Amino acid sequence: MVGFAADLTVQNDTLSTEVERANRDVDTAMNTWKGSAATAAAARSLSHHLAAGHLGETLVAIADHLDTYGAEMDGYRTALLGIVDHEVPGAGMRVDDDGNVTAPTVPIAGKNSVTTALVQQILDGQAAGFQSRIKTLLTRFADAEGSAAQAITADLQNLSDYEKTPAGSRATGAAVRAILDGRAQLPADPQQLHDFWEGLTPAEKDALWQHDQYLGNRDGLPAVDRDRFNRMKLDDELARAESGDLEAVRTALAGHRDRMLMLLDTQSGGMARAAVSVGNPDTAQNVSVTAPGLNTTVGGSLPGMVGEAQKMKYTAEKELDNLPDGDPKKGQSVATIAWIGADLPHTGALDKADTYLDPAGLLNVASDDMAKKGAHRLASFYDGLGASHDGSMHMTAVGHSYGSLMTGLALREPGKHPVDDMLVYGSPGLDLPDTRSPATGFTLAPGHMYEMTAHNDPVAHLNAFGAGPENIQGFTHLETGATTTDDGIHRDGATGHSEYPRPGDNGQLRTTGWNIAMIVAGLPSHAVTAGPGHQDAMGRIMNGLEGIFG
Amino acid sequence: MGGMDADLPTLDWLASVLAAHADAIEKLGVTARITMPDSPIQALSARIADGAARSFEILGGNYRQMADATRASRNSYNGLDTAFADQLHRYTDEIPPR
Repeated sequence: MVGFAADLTVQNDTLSTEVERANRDVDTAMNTWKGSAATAAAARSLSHHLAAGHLGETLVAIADHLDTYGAEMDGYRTALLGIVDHEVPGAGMRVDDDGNVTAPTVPIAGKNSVTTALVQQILDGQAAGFQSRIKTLLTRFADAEGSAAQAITADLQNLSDYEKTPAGSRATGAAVRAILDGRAQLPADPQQLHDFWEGLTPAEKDALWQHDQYLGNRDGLPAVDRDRFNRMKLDDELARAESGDLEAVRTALAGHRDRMLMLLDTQSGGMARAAVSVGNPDTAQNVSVTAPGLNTTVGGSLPGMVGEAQKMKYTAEKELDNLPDGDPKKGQSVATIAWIGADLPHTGALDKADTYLDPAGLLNVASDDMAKKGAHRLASFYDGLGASHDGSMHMTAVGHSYGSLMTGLALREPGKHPVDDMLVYGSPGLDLPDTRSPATGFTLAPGHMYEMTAHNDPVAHLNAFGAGPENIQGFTHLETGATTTDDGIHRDGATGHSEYPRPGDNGQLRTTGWNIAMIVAGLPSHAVTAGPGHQDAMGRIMNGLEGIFG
Repeated sequence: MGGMDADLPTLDWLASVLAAHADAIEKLGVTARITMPDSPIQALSARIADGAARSFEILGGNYRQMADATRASRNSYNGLDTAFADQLHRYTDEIPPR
């Protein structure tokens, strides 16, 4: 089902591109038109009507349902196969097509019939346990299959409607009409927007896209819609102007069908903004959002960040696949998001050794103003992912450098955010009021905050915004030095401010990258924790100061 | 209205690009298949593939019709006005493309 959905999505993306380009070609032709204004108006009107049909949105809905239910059913199937193909035979038992499990009959050994009966009882109990798990999974699979069939049948009605009335015969609802007429706005709250969106027809969704071509940036819309709308906007903007930022977004997406454009905004900020998810965050059981730090730009950084996100996803999913049979997390999926969704400070480059900040550049990061503004956007992004997610989700907020400050502030924004774990690294502080107090105010359960501070990381030792998390109670300190992880791979250590997510000399993620992947996977016991003497000499000296800006 | 010489290159270009878009859309189709013999999903997926193919043909057909009208009426503004307006009328009045 997931493969079918992927194929349908590819066809639909091509359709969207062709329709938008045709619309633009008509505009281009009519812009140089010398003759009748009426002819130009008729051509534009016809082209606009063809582009505004709801076929694209109808196909998105079908693909989304196939993807969502397909992933859910695949999860049940994987769990079932683990029990039926490994656990049950491993215990010497048999299972029939209806899920009934039979324990072997214990032969009566001499006169000791009591022992025999006891052993038989234990085996029968184990068989009953297997059977219960199998039947539960079979029921869940059947329920998901029934829900999928129901949803797809409704979608097919929309497809049939398109064949009969491609221009869309259903009247636009009053709520959408009011938005199109400028008398109302879409809900700003991600959950409310999601609920509203789910009640719209494909034609209404497409009408809203025609009304606001930045619709894909709205937190709370399903990821498939965000991706579709933002890809159409990217194509449109690339056709209108050359831009390093837009080219970088195109590069980050090119050749990878599992990447989704969650955000594209070249207009509203001091710098271009974009976010790319590797994997579908609405269907993955584990989702992460990484907020970057100093000097990050879409044009200069996005493809690299997305490449790192791809490696995190691969490593996390490999470890989840290798969990023992019967582990509830075995085979779970991961989506990792590179988020450049707010303006960031720019200091000028670090030096070649990556251990020194230009003092002039340092002054640019002395303020937390950008972090506070960005935190609001980031919290909304988290909330949008929570609103659009199908089923249960484990979410990790990841922040590097100035992005860690933004992440920490986002998790102290009012409201209940869907984030389970926070991991910050290379952090100059989290704006906590008391530099040595336990971390408070985060919307996280105790024991779910992690930090990494690498050897000779000058930014992490600044304590620029209150104490760095290396010194805050409540954070679990993860290892940054070289080690061999439980998959048997040697991993280089990280040094300086930038190496944390990057591969080491052997092409493998460093210890720090492994740790990120394990927290993102929801496997904290697989991460490597730091020893008690984890602070280096720079840290001990710098941490003796009260804070440079604080 | 008379001479359209100044707009002829534009019309010829528009006709050719619209025909190319029509070709691209009509070629679309889902080739993946779902094999779940005991599940209703398999039959539904076949209906999706068929419905999508018909829809691609409908939309592609509309762009082809627009391209043809552009080419056929290139010598008359009135002819173009009428051709586009007629097609829009058929489209919005739910008359399938010929």
